Amino acid sequence: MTLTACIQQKPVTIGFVASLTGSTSELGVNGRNGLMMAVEEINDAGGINGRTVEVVVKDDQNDPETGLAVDQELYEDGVSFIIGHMTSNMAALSIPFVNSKDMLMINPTMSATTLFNQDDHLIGVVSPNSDQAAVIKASMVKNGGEKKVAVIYESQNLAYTGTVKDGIAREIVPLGGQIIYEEAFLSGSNPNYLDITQRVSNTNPDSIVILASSFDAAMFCQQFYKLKNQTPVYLAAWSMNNDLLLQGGGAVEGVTITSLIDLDSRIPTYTAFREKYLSKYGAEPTFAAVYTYEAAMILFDAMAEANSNDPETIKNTIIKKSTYQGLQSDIIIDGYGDASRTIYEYVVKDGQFKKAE
Amino acid sequence: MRRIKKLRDFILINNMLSIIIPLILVGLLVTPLIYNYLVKDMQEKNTMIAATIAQRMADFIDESFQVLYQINHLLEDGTLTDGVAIESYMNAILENSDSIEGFEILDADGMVKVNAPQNANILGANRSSQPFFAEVRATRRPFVSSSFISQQTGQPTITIAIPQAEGVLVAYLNLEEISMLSLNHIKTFGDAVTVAITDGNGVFISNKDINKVYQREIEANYQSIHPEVEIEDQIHTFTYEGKTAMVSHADVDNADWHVFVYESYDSIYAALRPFLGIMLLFTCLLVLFSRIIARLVFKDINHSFGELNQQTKEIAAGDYHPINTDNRFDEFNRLTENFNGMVASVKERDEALKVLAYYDSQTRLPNAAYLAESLNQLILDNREKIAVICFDIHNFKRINDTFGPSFGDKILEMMGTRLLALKCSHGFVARINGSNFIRVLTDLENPENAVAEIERLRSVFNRAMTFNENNVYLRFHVGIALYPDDARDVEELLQYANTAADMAKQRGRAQYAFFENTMKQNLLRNMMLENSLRSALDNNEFFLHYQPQIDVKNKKIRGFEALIRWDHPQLGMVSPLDFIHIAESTGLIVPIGAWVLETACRQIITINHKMGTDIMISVNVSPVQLSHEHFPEMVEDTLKRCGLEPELLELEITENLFIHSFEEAIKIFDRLKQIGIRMSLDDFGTGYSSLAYLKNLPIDTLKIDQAFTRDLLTKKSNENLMESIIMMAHTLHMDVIVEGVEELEQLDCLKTYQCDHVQGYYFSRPIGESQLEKLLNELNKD
Repeated sequence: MTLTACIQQKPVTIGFVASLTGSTSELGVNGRNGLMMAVEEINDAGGINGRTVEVVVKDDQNDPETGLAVDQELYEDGVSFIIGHMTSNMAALSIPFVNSKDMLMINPTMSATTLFNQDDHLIGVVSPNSDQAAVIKASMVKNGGEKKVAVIYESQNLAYTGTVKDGIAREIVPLGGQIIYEEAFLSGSNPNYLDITQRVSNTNPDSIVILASSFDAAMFCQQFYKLKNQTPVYLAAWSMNNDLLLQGGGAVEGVTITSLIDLDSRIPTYTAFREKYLSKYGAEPTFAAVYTYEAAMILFDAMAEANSNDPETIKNTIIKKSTYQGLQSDIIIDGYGDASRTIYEYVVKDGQFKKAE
Repeated sequence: MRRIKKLRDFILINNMLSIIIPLILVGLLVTPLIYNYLVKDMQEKNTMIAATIAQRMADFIDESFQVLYQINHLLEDGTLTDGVAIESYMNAILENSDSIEGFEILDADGMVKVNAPQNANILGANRSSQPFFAEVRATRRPFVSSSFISQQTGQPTITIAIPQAEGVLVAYLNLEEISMLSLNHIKTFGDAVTVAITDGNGVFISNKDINKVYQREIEANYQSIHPEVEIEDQIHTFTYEGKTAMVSHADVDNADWHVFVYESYDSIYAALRPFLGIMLLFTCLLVLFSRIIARLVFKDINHSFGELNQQTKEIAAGDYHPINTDNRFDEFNRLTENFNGMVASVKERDEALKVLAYYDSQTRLPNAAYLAESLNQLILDNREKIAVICFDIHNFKRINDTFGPSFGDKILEMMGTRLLALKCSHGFVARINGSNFIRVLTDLENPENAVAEIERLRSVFNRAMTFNENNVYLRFHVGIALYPDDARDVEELLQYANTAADMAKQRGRAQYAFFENTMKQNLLRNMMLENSLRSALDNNEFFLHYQPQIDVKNKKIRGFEALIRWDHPQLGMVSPLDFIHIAESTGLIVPIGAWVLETACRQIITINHKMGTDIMISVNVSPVQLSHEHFPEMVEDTLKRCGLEPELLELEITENLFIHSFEEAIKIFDRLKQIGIRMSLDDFGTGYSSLAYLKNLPIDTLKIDQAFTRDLLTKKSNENLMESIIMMAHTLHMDVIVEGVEELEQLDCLKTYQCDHVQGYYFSRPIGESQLEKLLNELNKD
């Protein structure tokens, strides 16, 4: 009894790592907000088997080297569980480190297809980018624009943007389509949005795909708007947040965007979460907030069930259970610790996201 | 059991407690008051700081707005018309401003018409969805946005906007600068307080930790501190990084911003500490002060106690003096008064006890205990000679018996009165016991002084004692022992004086005797005799001699008188005169007498058997023996055991028997006569020789003392006396035996007077048993 009481009193410390500063911090800040709600909820409910949860928050500054350094810091502080990172470009250095140290990383939003089907120390709650690519392809087909596709993609997060781009290419090739133009840019370096859009416009594509953060995507849209280019624009889930609407204004009207969450969901668990989030942060929860919340809940659930601190045991427990109730739908986790989720398609209409018909 | 405490400790501790406890109570009461005061003070102060900073922020925003209004004014009055002029004016402002990072002029559709610094990407962009456009367009009022991360600078930023013509004029403000502004401002309030500013969602706009601004962290307790409905004067206390802090806040009027001022409670404790320190110091000083006062107070009390203690100690040691203490306390005075009362009553009781212990109640003279102590003291103190004069009333017991014990008591009382009236100086008179008195005479120059004193005492004794019309003249025998000539200690002095008195008694009436050394030897001899007398019977040291009693008419033996002899192993033959009185005084006479009786009876039976005679045996009996309650039974038993006819036994008693109690003597005589034995009165003529009582006694034989026989032939009157006695005896039907007949003339004379029997050397001195047969044969052959 005394022993259990002792263990119960010692808090569970987990790490959270994401980009919290700079131009890509929107994803990380929203993810942190979602995580904090999960932690607040579990602690209000008495913690994990009586142990409260504490979070150590680290900023990877969207830089793989910094990401590795903060992972190392967490490891040295005795933290075995990390929720993060949020952008796929962090995976290249982080995942080998986590594997080598037998830590466990629960990944909310890294969806680079290359991360999937690997026997590693990574559990994901997000679908692979190939799924997004399939949805984007389907939209193009619907609009009859799958033949000549131009792609603008962010190069720092190439792990993400590259796999989406490659996925789209893979999807359209069988239909006789192809990527006729592609151009990379580096976020945060004051890219010359106007020149890029002009080059893209000059290729006369059927469809334009922009794989970038919401701000960058909005900026490109602004340029197309200024050029009065009416070519359908397709955005990936990375751009899917309110900032797109704020920054884009009228320029993003009619843009098609994949969404990892159902913004119109009436599932009670989600509406409750949404209300709470709104009141706490004064903003709509983004997919980053939802997925990070879910990632944390899956970790807490497994820790409670296994009543263990061992990353390997927790990983196996998560894989063994396989089906988790997400905020909006079930999350199925396969033997590699990879998830498969429904991808939604939205269109910006009247300054709002509207689910595509 | 109650623990015994020291009064000093008790006073000190109680004194201390009486100071410490109220102080602690005051401390307990005052500390929370002070604490509450400090908390309230801190809250007021910090709320003021928050309000000051909030005002500062409002001023800052106002100033920023003023910039926008100024630009707007220039645009409207046509000072700035073309884009280049506007841009250069704006750039000039940007260069001079720390906080403003950019301007945008939007047209009625939200299109960026002009921007500074110039950015082709932004120029012409659609801002219609931005709140700074949508809200200003809708309300035509100035607008302040919430914070966001600028994509140009990557830093936290807000926008402010005002209506401009149909469109909107927007400025971008760097939050880092704002944060620095508020942090600089808070520095003037010291290290104890920190400040933070949040926007309307609780997201930090300013924080000491700038990362919180960059990461758009939310003030953890924003919703509690800044609830929808504010409660007046509520003190917000929360824990930040393990420290409890008070949070005060104020709102920035012209923006939905909130200023929070934090101060750890440590500063309250730090403020309380000096107060508690002073309190503690004060307590210590008071305790010290109280100790000094208590010591001074106790010094007085201790003095009184010490006095009392010392004096009671003296009293306990026997010095019964009243306590005389000089002190300031009424309680002590009452205590000493009571104590003195007690001492007085103890003293009184002591005196009474002393009287009881040292004085004889009958005579009111000092008693034996007094004598022993005083004489001892005199010996210790006095270098002069002391005479111890012992005087004893002669035959006091007889007076008692004759006139009754109350008469005796009365006589003693009168003696006491007379002796006290004598006012003996140089010593005192004490009554030792019974009729025995001691005069201690000090400062004796020579023994004649003692004789003179005796004469003085005699004047007391020689006057008749009269009580109930009975007149009695007392006679005394007096003995004197001298200190230091005769003895040097009390016991010996008393013993020797007594011995001398006894000697005087033996010598004759109303005589005195000084103690002599021979008496001492006599005393020693008597002591030795007394010691060896106890074992003499067991050691068969006694034996009997027999003296024949001869019938005057036919010269035949009537009987023998058994006479005890003692063959002492060291002293040789001891005379009965020397040891019988010792045997009497020690009570040994009883077993010795019994032995004599039995031995004599057995002897006479043996002789009578052998010789075929009926010779009688006479045995002397001491008055002590006779007064022994089982004496008659003993005689009876002895006769039976030996088988002697009672009429052959004659017990000889002396007149002394009657001195004590005549009535008692008659009873014993009657009892003995019942056995059938004969009774004989021995030594007639030496004692009282009262003829009066002779007729009342059942006496068979009268033995006339040899003193009469000795003088018989010298004077005619003696002959007549002898004849008269014999005649009287015969008249009373008594046989007569005359003792001490040593000559034929005496025998012849006695024969003339019809004397029945004689005893004496003329016929035979006392002889041993072995010679009995021979004597019988000689005397009876005729």
